[in-house]
Amino acid sequence: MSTASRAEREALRSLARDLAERELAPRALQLDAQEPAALEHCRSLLEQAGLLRALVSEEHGGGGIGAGELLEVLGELARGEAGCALGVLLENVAALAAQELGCPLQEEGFERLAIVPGVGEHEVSVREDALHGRLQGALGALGAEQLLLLAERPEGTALWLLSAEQPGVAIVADRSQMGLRAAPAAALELDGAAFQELIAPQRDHRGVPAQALALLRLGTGAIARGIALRAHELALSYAQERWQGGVPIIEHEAVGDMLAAMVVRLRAHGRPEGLVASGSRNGDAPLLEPQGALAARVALCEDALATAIDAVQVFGGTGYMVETGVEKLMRDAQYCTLFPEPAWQASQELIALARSTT
Amino acid sequence: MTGHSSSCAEIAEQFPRLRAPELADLCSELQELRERTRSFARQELIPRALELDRRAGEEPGYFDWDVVRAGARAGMLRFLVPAPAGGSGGLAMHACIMMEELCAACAGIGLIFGAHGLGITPLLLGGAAHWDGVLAQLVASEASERPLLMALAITEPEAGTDVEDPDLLARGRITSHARRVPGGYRLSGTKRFISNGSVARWISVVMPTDPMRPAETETCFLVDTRSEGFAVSRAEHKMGQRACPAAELSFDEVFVPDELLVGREGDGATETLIVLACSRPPVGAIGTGIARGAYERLRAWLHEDDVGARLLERQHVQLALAQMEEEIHLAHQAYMDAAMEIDLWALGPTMRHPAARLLAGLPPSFRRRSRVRRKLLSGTARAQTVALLHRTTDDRRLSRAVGLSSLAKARGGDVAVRVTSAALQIAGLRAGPLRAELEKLWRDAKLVQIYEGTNQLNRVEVFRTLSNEEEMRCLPPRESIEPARMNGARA
Repeated sequence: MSTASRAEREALRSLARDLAERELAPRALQLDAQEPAALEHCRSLLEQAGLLRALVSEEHGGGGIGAGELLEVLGELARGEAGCALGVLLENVAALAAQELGCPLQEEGFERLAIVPGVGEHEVSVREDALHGRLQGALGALGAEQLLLLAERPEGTALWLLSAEQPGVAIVADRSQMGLRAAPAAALELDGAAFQELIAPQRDHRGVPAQALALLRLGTGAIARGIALRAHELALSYAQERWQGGVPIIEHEAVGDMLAAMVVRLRAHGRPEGLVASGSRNGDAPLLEPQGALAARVALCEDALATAIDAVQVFGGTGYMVETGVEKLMRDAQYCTLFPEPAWQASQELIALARSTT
Repeated sequence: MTGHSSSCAEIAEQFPRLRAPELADLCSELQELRERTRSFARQELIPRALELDRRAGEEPGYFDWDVVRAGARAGMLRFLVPAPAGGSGGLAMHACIMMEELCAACAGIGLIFGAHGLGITPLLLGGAAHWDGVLAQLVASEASERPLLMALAITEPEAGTDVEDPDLLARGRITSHARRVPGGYRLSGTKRFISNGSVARWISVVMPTDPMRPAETETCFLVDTRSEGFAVSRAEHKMGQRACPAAELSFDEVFVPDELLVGREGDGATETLIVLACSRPPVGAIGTGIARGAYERLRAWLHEDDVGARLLERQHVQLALAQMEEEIHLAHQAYMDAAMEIDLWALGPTMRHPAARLLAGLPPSFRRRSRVRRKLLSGTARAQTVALLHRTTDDRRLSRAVGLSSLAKARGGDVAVRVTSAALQIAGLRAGPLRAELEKLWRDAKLVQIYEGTNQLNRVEVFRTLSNEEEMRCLPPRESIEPARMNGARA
């Protein structure tokens, strides 16, 4: 995996920004409504731009960019439509893990991948070499051809590969999904589903499962930051246009304070891409430090939620209406705090990681 | 300070003027109301909540009349209608208890009944003038296929916060206008975000007779939505509380006869202030109910589900539940404090005044005689209602009620958002049907921080009335801005 030059990074960012502004943002409401035509159109554009396999090496048909560049791209895309950005993250992480474990990425049946983190034993169990159980709220799983499950077992995290089109697997659309709806969620119903264990349970934080999880977390943080930036832009603009009490509402300190708090939150944390270490794991793959990734994801997602809630508040009743797109930011931000795990569980894991390193 | 309890003993201590039998009656009445509403909500609202939310999300403006009919049968439409008009004669405490119970089940459906009550509230300030008109019609319609609903229309496209605060109103961009014409008024303009606006038969509408002087000339009118010139111009697509439709309403020279003027011309700003003081504790109760709904659903899941049971062993989850309990308890106390202040202190003496009791004791058949009815609708009667308010309460008491009401509203909204969000965090994405319910409650919760004045505006009111002990001008002036018109021969 190469590290892009500064000019290449900027070009990639511009491409993502342009896509977000011209294609994703104008379709945000349709994507949120999960209109098939809008979902397909945007996925096709992202695929044509090479963003769905951006992390995969060029030799395997990907873009060969680094994790840092991907995080920048996700932030830009999320300013247009956060669900699409999550779809890009899920496909990239799944494809990168699959590539590193020798899956035939360029073969038929591997065109749409999804990765499902945090699969607990109480949800999915292995009996007679097959999977049984029900897994709900799997973001981005609807429509995937291959699913990579990050299975949490007592001995560590395993990585399982599961074909969606096989006996014993039913993928049921989750119609109640509230946020990030452009990455349609599903419930996986597994009844004796055959699977391939790509990696047995392990605790190595440099291993593929841990690194995949770290990238999911950091990527979610980057998406949350994109949501927060968009929420701040919209709120700042509205606060200067909307008058109450004979002045623009930005002149009311109650509103000014909320806008200032947004800036503080946005400035308080560095860009998530800054957390991608220059060290390497297998030759030239990036190394993500799990604790840093987890902490950044918690902070960025909670800040994005606070910012989006305040943005709706600045808009008042108007912000509560679907057509303004502000309330959607709030729903998307809440989902970021829940993925790959709820923020409080992430905090508990931070403690566990801190203890393991002291 | 008003104490943080709603027990009979403490109510008696704080409000010594309330006699023991009245107190006992009140307490048992409130308890009975809570149980009856809870039973209704569990039976009729919970089974409908998610489906109605989904349907109205796909089809903004969709409305389920079945749930209104069920509510009518359970007495949910008459709770604020004065007893002489055939209603239950409830006030702020009754409204609060009802709203908490309804919204613990479904805030969207609860809001249908809440917005109906909000539309009725200005009529209560109008004295007996409307008892035998619209209010009696509302009660009579309860058994019909389509019970009559009400709404209140204050907000305008360019004036949201402005119309809810007298100081801001003076500088606001009010574009609606009520023009005097022979026999009444012609109303023109647009109102926005009106809950029940597309389904109400009668709407209490606040508009100035002089848009250049809105603070002095705001006036409340009762509008029949079948009137020529009235139209629902848009069904709003909301994030939550969807079972109750919100609409944009268009008024194009809508005629309102003199007898449907609510109170006196020019008293609209002070009437709005009192109406909001009465309606904000129930909004705090909506927030409390939403929070309680999330808490109770989460707690049941934690106890009944295998995944939940494992989570319940975690101290983080135990502390989070304890904090929810704490927040809900305090939000409940805040709205009960405010409601007691209104019912027993700020407006209670007006309701209990011998003159009001005398009027309420008149047989309906006597009140409905045309000569008596003309008198009740006359400018003199309207002036007497204002005079009664001046005799029985004052700006100091009402300002304190405004402050406590705003406090309860802001607290209830914040607690709703915090508790639903915390519940969602504990359940996570994998919680299936519970997650869908909690997500709905969280979406519903956000609106409580916005409507009935944003929480920011309400905290400004708390500062003014409680922190700074300002006396707001809550009572209408003793003299009407145009006494000759309503006191003259035409009345």
